[in-house]
Amino acid sequence: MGHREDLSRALAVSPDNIPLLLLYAEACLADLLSDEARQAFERILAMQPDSSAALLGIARVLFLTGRSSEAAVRLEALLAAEPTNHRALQLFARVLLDEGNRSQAADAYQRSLACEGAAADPELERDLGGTAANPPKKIALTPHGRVPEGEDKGPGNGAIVDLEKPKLGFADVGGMEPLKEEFRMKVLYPIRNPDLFRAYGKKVGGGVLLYGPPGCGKTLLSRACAGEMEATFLAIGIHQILDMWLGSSEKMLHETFELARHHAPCILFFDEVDALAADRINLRHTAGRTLINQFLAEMDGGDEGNEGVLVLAATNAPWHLDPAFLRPGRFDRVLFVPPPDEVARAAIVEILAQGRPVAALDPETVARKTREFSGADLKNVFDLATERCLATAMRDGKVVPLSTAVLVKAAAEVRPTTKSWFETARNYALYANQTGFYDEVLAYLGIKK
Amino acid sequence: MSDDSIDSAALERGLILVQQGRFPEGKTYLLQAVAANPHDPQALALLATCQYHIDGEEADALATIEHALALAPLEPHYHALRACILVALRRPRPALESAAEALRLDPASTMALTAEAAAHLRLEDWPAAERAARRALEIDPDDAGAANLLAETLRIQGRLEETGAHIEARLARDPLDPFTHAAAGWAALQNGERRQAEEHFVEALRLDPQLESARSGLIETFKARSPLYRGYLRWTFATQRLSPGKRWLLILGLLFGARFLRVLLGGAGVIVLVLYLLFALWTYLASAIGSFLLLLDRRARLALNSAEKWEGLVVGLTLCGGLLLLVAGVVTRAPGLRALGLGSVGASIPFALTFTNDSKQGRLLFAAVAGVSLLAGVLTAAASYGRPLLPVELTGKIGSAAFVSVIASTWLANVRSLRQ
Repeated sequence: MGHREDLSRALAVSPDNIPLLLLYAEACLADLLSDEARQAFERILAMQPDSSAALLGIARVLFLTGRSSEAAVRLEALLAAEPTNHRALQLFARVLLDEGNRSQAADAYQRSLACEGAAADPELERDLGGTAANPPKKIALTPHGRVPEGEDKGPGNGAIVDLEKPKLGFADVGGMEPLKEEFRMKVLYPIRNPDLFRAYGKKVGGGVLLYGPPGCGKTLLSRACAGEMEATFLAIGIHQILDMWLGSSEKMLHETFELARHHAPCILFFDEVDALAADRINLRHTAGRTLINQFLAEMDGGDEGNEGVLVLAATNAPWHLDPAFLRPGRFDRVLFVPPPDEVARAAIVEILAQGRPVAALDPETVARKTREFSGADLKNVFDLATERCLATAMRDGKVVPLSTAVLVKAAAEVRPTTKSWFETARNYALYANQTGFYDEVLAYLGIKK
Repeated sequence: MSDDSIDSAALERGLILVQQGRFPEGKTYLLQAVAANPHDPQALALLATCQYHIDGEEADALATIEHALALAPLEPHYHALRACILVALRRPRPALESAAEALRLDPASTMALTAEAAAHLRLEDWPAAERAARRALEIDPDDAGAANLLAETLRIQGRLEETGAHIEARLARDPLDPFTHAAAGWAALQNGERRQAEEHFVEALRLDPQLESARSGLIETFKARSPLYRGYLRWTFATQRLSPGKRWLLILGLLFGARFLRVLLGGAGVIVLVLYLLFALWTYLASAIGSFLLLLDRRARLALNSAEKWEGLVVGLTLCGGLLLLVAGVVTRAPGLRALGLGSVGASIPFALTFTNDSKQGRLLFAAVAGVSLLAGVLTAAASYGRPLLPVELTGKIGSAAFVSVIASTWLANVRSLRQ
């Protein structure tokens, strides 16, 4: 604080000194005084409208105060003017990661490293989970075939997909040991010991469906699974799935499977698969049924067979799935991914605490007080606690670090989103569980029928 | 990608999700589409559709569809959607106005006719509801919403044979419609066919585990194992078909009839009066006591929601505990126990009107009455043991207030705005 006060006194003497203003703004940011920092950056812009340091500074302030969308817009404008500003690129990567856009974040980070004078950010690399060191290869799927992104896609719609080899393994996923063991038994061992399984007449490959409340690590576990298998990971998200409904969708879906077959061993991961494998009863008046029929045909292997392709799919709404997908040879292995256990929550708390001012933080205590919280819920807890600390910091003019007490207090005000999922899942488990699909949900809820 | 293409992609993705019935996910994309083009009535109407299907967002849905209507006031579908939303918001009269406007613009709008039927149903105008549902079915015989509303209006009017034939025809067309199975369950329950009712409700829940009318029907079927509860159900079904005015007449008729018989029959008339009082009490307590008994059944209690469990527990404990204290007080001649027992039994009546009541004012009012009754019991008991917590005169006034307010609560329970 002393340093900032010295700078403030110096500014009183020389109020239009831009380098001094920059130093003062940086000192304010270090003390988490976001309003003062923003005012200083805006004063610089008033004098020098194209100052990239000030533009970047304002984006940092916005990101620090949780307004990441606004920060992203500012950074896009800055990068349009200065595409090789590596600091802006790295901050952009952070913002994108914060918004859950991992592959674009890794892309921005890679571009920053290619710029002159750029240094690696190990913390960002770790948060990117190995995607930074091993960037995904982008492929555009079109009704006319697949082409690397950037090349002419020809007429019609297309979906961009990422091909990568994740370096992440199960050791990088905290806690959840029973689930990881189930993953090993149902997914990894059959692929590692195909002869043994064939000897017993079991088919290797096929599909595995992961279901559970949102934000509980289904995607992370799938990536870790690909890392363990040293397989190519081809992820299809909700955007790409919805794009498949527009245009020549059946052909594009076929191309997706072809791409996976071409890169075998490959994990073909469909996130929010219920958007693609929707129950045909609900779609009787739409043309979407043909796409579902195509998906079923591809799951069955088509003409080429799916040797070496493991189809992993995640859904928060398994009840929307067409029952045909659960037949043998399709998603015949089903894994329930519950909210993270205490060990996993403590690991998540540790990760979320990185890069924030923290004092007297006991992750185990926070984990104990956040039963049923998903990873996303824990992030909400951190955001709320950070807002509180920022408000106090602005009022008192000093840094207020995050602590166990502040986090536990914030946790008491956050209602875990998993609750509403279980309220719905409970009804399905009670009334629509003729096949035993929801037995694990019943067991998790402690209901004995 | 240009702004226009971002806007149209979000709209198209939202539309796909709406067609798939994934309204919360669809809402996310449609909000993007509306943010990109706030003056697109189609995006606004789709967003309103999503909000209408998400619990607790009906008021937002109304604001959104009104915005769409401001941009496209001649679009009949938007008026019909507004009517549906207003029915969900329990505002049937403005819903009828919206449905009428939709029908003026498009006389063949089955959505508007279905909304009109639902609004009449809420206003308990059964013949008008039946007419609207039949008109909708003349235009589209496959309209499941209209078909199920027709089944409900026929059942409520006690035309069970017609209801059965209608449901049978519906099930022949679509044996996998959960709403029809739920309607069949209610018709069977009203007809006293418990086993059949249970089968239909279970099937409806298998097809749609979130279907509230099937879950509540299943609970009623479980409760109807008791002959006393079956009597209560018969009374409920019989009075349901009456208009609100006729229902009040019936209640007043029973009250004055019992009093008249009490005078006419002399000593024997007391029995009539006691029977009347027990009957009146049972009509208030039956549902909650039914829930209390279901709590003791390991499987059946799974069907109860949280409010029903609390209702069963609190009413069961206050009523049974109160009766035990009352009997103990009479046997041991302990006025304190009698006061506690009376206070507890008295509280059980307003408690039975509290937990599953959708009216917030009603919940607060009946909970307050129950609290006063319990307080009066405790204060009177303390005073009777020579340790008054308040001046005796004030304790007496609180006791009188408790008695009057408990009696009043049985009358207030018939006011629609206090008990939904």
